[in-house]
Amino acid sequence: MAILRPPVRRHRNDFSIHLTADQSELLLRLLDEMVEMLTTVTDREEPLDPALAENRQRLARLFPPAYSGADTDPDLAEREEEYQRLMREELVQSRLASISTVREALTNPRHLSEPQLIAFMQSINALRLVLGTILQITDDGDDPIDGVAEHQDDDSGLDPDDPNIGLQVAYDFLSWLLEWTVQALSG
Amino acid sequence: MMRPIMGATSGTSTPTEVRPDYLPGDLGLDPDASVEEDRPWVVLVWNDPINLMSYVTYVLQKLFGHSLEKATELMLQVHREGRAAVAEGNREQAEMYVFRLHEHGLWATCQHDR
Repeated sequence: MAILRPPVRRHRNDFSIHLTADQSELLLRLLDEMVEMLTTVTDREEPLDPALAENRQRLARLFPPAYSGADTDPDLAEREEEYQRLMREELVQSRLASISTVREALTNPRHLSEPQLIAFMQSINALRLVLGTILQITDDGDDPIDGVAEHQDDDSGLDPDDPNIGLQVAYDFLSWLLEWTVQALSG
Repeated sequence: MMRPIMGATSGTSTPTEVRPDYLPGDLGLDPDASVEEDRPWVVLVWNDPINLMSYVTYVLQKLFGHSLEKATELMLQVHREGRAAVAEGNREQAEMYVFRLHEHGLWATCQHDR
């Protein structure tokens, strides 16, 4: 049955991705939004537009601080500022390049090289970080065997009345896809 | 026009073996290489509730050339203790590794070894 077919498969020299049309469409839509957010929220100044300020918060996990203790040590604070000034744009460009690779692979299905599948993996993970931030995922569970982050209130599964149910479904889909991607890359 | 799934818009404020990128030592990560007056910088990976354990393990293998066992050990240390030191070197090397970890979405920082 097609549903049991792994979405990411390793071949002798390359990889292939097998998604339904709906899954590809969702992924492309999420990636488009990520590009929009990355290209409109690139500076470190607090934006005046409330929507940009909100998106800046949503992207925060993609641009973490680089120096421990920068909040108390002026020298480290200076290094931190320099890192963010120089490397943030590098990170943005790196993510945009990865997304471009994924878009190309999804719109013209073909086999992917390992670097292309790694770009795919990085993009899927970046989307999970943004969705996880919006969903305020705070609990990664205690079972190391599980390996899949759990939702804060997932005892009874998805709540159909939850206004975030769409985000939750997208997050779970990305988790599933990322697991298969890592598995394929790990051989 | 479709409503964004995760982006806010103006006016709608709704809330086998992994081949490493570098071989060990390529970037002078050998602690013996540190000189006395230049204490090494340590690269730390911090626990976060979003990144998958399998993903973190793979990234540590890929970036640092760790075996699956070593990468799993470090990942579990991050998970259980909140953080783990994954590399050390001079400041430029440590910053470069932090960047590569950020590129992969891991929450990483560097600090001067004490």
